[in-house]
Amino acid sequence: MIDCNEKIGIVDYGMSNSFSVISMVNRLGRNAKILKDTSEISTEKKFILPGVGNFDNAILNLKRLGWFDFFRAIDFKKKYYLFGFCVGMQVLFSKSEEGKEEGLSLLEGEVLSLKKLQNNKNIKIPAMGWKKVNFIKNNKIIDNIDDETSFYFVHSYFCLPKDPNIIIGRSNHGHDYATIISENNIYGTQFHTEKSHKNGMRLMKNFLDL
Amino acid sequence: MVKTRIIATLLLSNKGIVKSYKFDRKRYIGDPINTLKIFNDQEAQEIVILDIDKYKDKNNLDFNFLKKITSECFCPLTYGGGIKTLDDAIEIFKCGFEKILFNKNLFINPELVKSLVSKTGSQSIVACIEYISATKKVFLYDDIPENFARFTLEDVCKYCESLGVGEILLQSRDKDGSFSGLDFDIYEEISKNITIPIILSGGCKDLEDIKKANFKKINGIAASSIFIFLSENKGVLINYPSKNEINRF
Repeated sequence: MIDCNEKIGIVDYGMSNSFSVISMVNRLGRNAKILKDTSEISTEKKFILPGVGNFDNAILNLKRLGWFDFFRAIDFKKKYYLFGFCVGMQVLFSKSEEGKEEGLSLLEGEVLSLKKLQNNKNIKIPAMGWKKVNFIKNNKIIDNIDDETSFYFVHSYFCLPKDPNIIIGRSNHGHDYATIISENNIYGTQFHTEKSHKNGMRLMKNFLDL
Repeated sequence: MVKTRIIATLLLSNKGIVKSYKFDRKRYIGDPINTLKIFNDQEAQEIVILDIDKYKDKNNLDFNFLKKITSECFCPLTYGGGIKTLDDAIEIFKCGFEKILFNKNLFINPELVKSLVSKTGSQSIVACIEYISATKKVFLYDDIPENFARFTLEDVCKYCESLGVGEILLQSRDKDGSFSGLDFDIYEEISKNITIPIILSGGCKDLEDIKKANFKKINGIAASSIFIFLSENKGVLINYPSKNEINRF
């Protein structure tokens, strides 16, 4: 049963575009609260980690606001859920070429520069714009979404999970790379779900319905 | 296959959407919330909103008004106009925009641009460079420091690249609103020596013009008139190309 009164926590760590995320969640008729730090958590079990900015800044802000320790301590196998977008997905891994800070390490793997995928000069970095995602594995998060649907990307780094089984969708920027991932109750999209029109909204709804 | 990004540019003036012709003769188009909602319903890939009065406006930015505009829009949004401080910029991001566009500040306040780049990353910052298609010369406003006077258009693009911006929007002033066709020549000339994405803006004629841009592998085009008017000298009709039309390119 979906509990429509359930409150969704949107983690506002510094410069994230939490307003876009809450607009979409509200449009779906669901409750959400923007949480500045962990002291503002009440009954929330589902958290969204939006992403704008660079890796180290994100980690330092997560640490400063208590989120770093909070996410590392809770159990994502049962009652807690987490959905990260863009840098919000990258920080789930253990390290990034973009910075020196240790990531949340909720997922095994690292974040590398898109330059590693570039195979010709026409491929520009940052990767910007709408790009197709190929689904390689079934998962509730992609229910009611067609394979090869386009989503909106803006990024210079990509995630390389150690376990390829956590990859749900892949895109291409010279070479293929992971763009939707899922392990236990942790989900991530390299693209901006909150800015991907109807299909972004479907993805968001799927997360809220978990 | 990377496709040409198709960006709709909307000009804000006095809290209404207007459209200019060669940076002059502004025509009122409609209410911004409604206009944006229609573009959102038509699934516009990206929208750039420029407040063309704000740079001379002493008042602060109206963030509540901007939030009203963005709350109905679930696509990428860029804002430009009247950003004076780092705090302004941070508030703009919090209003639901993911990119900020700079024009005069690139020259007058490059430190602001640089500090924002280091805080948010290159991908969030767009440099808008105005130029004249007829002469291929960069257009600099009177209050821009004199040392830029001898800069060619390419010099200015390289300078913006050195500030760390993520992309350059090349805006032709004399093609603005003219339906005379995108300036492909300038793109070819400039993009050779610039590594970041370039968006070509000004004069877009029709879908064929965009198709041509796609064929030439241009990173992005920005247009306004063709998405706002039924055709040249005709009435207002918001008409962003459908996914099917774009897929046929």
